[in-house]
Amino acid sequence: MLALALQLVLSAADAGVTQLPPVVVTAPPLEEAAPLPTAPSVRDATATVTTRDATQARPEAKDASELLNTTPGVSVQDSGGAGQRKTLTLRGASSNAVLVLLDGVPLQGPGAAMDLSRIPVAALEKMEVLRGGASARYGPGAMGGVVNLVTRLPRDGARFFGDVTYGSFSTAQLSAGASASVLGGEGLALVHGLRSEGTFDYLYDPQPATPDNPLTVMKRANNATTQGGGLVRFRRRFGATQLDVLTEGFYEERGLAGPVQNPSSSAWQRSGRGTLSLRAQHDFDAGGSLAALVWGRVDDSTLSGSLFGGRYHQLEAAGGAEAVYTHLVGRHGLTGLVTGGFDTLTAASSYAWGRFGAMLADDVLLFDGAWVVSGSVRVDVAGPFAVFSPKLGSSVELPHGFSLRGNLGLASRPPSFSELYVVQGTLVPNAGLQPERAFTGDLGAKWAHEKASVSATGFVSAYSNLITYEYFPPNLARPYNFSSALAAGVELEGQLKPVEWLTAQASYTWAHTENQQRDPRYSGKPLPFRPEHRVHARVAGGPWFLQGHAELLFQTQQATNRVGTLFVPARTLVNVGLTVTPWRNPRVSLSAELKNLLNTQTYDYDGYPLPPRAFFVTLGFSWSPSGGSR
Amino acid sequence: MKWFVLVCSTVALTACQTGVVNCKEGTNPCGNGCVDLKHDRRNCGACGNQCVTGQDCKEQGDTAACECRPGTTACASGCAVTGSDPLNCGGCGTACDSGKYCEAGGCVDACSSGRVNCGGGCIDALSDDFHCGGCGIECTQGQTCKQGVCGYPAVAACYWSGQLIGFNPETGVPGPLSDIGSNPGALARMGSTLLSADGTDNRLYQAVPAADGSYALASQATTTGNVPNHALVDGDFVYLANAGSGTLQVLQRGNATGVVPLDAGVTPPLTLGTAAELQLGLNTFPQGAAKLGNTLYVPLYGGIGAEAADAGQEVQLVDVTTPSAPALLSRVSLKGLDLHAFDGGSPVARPWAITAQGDTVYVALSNLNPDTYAVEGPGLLARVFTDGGVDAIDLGAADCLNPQWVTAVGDAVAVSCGGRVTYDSTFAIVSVEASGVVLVSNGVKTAAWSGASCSGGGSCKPLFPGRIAAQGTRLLVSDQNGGRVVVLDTASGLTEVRGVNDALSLCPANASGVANVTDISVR
Repeated sequence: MLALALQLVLSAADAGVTQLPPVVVTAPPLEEAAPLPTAPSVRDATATVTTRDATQARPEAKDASELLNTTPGVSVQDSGGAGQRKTLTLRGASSNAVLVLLDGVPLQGPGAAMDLSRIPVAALEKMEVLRGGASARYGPGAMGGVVNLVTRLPRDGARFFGDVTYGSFSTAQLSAGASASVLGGEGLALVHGLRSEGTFDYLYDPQPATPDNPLTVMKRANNATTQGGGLVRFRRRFGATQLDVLTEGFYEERGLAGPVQNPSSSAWQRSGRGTLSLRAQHDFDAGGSLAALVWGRVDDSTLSGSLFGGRYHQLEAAGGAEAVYTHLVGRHGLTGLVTGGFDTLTAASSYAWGRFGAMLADDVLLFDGAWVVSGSVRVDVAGPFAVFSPKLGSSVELPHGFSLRGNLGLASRPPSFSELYVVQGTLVPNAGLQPERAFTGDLGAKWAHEKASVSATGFVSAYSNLITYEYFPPNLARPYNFSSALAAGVELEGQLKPVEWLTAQASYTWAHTENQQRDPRYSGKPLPFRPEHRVHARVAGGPWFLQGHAELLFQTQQATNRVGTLFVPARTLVNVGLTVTPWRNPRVSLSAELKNLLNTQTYDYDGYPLPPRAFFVTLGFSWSPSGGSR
Repeated sequence: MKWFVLVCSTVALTACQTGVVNCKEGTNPCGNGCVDLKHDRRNCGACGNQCVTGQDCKEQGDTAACECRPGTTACASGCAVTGSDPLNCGGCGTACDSGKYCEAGGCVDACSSGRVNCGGGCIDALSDDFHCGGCGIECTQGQTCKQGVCGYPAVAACYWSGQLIGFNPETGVPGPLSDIGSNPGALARMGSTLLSADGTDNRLYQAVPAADGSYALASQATTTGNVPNHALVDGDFVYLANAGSGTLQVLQRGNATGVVPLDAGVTPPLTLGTAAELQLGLNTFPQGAAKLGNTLYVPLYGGIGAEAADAGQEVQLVDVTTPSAPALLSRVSLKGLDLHAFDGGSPVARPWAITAQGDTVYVALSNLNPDTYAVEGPGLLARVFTDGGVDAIDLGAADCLNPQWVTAVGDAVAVSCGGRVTYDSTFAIVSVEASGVVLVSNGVKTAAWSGASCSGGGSCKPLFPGRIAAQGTRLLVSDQNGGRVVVLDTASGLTEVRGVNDALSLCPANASGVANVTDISVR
């Protein structure tokens, strides 16, 4: 939205208007608040971004991974069951090379992977997925892209809401919250929780070398999860300045069942997270806008089990500040960004480094803003590493709803603290690691109509200096960066709303990945856990009091090793659901969800079975004393 | 591939290199294939540079050159076998008169009984490396002639580079590296075919001897369980211990179950399929097999961590009277053994390797902490008797920590000891303690050899002894830290034939600088 505002301003300037139009200084009503400056649509206006509305995903999706899994370019790996670890790959990049933000606050340490099961959908308003390297705008860690999780918005007036779910595997989930006008602004408070025994039957092959032998039904054990958390958000406008405060906490205990061939009945993980952010945005009368963000985050995790050398505890703390100034100069929308902060990790020893980054960007609007050329350069220093990340992007609006966009850039991922410094069981660190690098490019076209839209994007990403764990004598593993890989493909996405009561959306991803190590065992082989083809389709419809939906997720086989000799087979998952809403205010709804309708027996990673057919019922309500049903 | 070319041409990615032949470590492109320029007599030092008769291709730093083979002498006419060369009989330039023959370095009127005339020389075609099985049939470098057939006395599996390499432990001459699978973990022989159990591909490959001294991959393989760790050949059967899937797999010659075709390869000499597969239990991690009578003994290492480790620490007995229909028998527990824990230690036995000697089964126990794998007790050797009894021999903390392998040699058994490694903060090795080999005879440790003759500093790379192969009185000890093989002799205690400082360097390092020898198969 800020980019749109900027475009309007620049368009006006292009038309010879010398005074800034009032749109810049007129504060939008909070209900229609502009996206935060960290939102991909603002920070990187020419990027390929898919937005998912989390409010429409409840109660279908339990956590952020289920929502992300519907996005083109994304593939989620699931340890199996509610609350179990879930990570994503994006355009071939590993989970530790995708930046995950919560309202702009990084949720993972430098170069680390984010567990998406720790983000309940109940806490989210929407999710923005920027696909492609974005280090030039977001800094190190965004080789595959950026996932920006937007928390639930406070709204004007009092409103109460909640839902409770119960279903298969003794899974119970609840969330409750309220939004109200307080302290001259708007506030929202939310609590959420999840408990799942996670015990389910799966098929096990006791004789993997014998073809067509009968499979054995086994029960997944030590797969239980208990989660709880809360979120408070407050925002208020002081003249031309908007203030936004967010604090959020999360706690979880879960069993770590392990792979089916070597299960663990006692390994567990206990983790907690706390996040605080304070944001201020000021629009100057003379033009220009300044956004400042100060944030802090702590993550505490304890692992118990042999893989971690008995018991392993670590505490991560990070904080930072960022200031972004945007100003119009002629046709140029100039953006300057400075950021700094620190990251620490305390395990057996403590490790810390400082961060500093600076970015300059110029969004040039041509032909009345129909053609935007965006260039940016960013320099980041994180601990011992310094990386330079340039990017050039462009978008063109064409007649009849057509548009084009393209991007080229360099991105990076710093080695994580764990890779650099921390001994974890038989995994030992390597302080000599260097950042991973990626050259990324994409080119896309879109056609948008009032009732339909279609987009197609081709992408290529060349990853180099990739870090992989290798054998380290006599019985350890250690990370090295000598691998390289190529990812290229096409992402198609379409939406259709022929009538008000019916929507359909579909996406298809062809993601061809190739290991580019010179060794013929690996050369040209697909990267592990990257299915080449993925399809997601969803149809939803019905009157407001009775709505149904059906969803299909298909993906082709995925290699489980880098030599391409072992595979997880292709899968088709079908989910269906029905929601009955007898009253609109107070809104009361009863939803039934049937997940994995076909009872597909499959697994992720290497021996982590996914749940079979499951059934969940959700009772939801919301009440606004002043009316309205949202 | 079309898309790839398109991407390369349109995006101009410098990483795209179509038409480039990629080769494993230690080999280089020659034409459309990969050759070992340091040990290939047909491509010595450079593609197409052939060594002549009597010459081997010998590594010289980063390159190689043709040199006279051990057992030959450089004469004006070339590399001569002075024992049978009529032009250089007994020495260079000493020619036998017309009508005479050269035998044992002297000119004779006629060849002795059992020897045949090959070009004026009297040779034993059953053992002559230059006329093996017939005149002019020259064994390639590293091979010897045995019963009129050329072959390598020993073959090493290079796990991290995905190759096999034949070698002669006496002369130290290796043949060329051969690409077989992804990560060969265990070797066994069935006739002249080498079986390679691949730890990544979960396949049993067949490596077929080729005329140039290399091994060629057969065009079909047998599906195995996860992480096949040890292969034991017994007549027409092969017993595979699949550690990852916890199964004992029985393969049978002539059976085609589980046989899969490969994209390329030579005609397979064997059809080897799965006749039976026994599930031994989750987290059992079977590591090997030894046969005594009609009973197979399988050591169960146990899973990762104390709880999962408890699923092992036993030896599973299997009735293989009818190998294609094996039956589980009882288990011998090792949990009650006195592990001689160090102060503060609480190790578990960790049975890691097994062999049969006489009427006793010997099991090497690593004696490690179940969670951290730290060495918390001396190396132990358990004896399992046919009556189900079991005891343990303390190999001595000063000589042996963390046993890795056990094999029978003569009337004794030899145990390799991985030792205890200490790293500094950068994970450079500071010291290796109590690594080496010990010899046990009649339940008593009779000799010890220390492999920790160097530690980290300088160019000397410490040895982490792994599997051992016995050949006569010789022990070939594999190295898990440098792709080397040490040769010891057991005729009188344990004496070095080739120690750490002059070990045979066989397996090349991979991209992360790691090389190891996971198994050795002897002829």
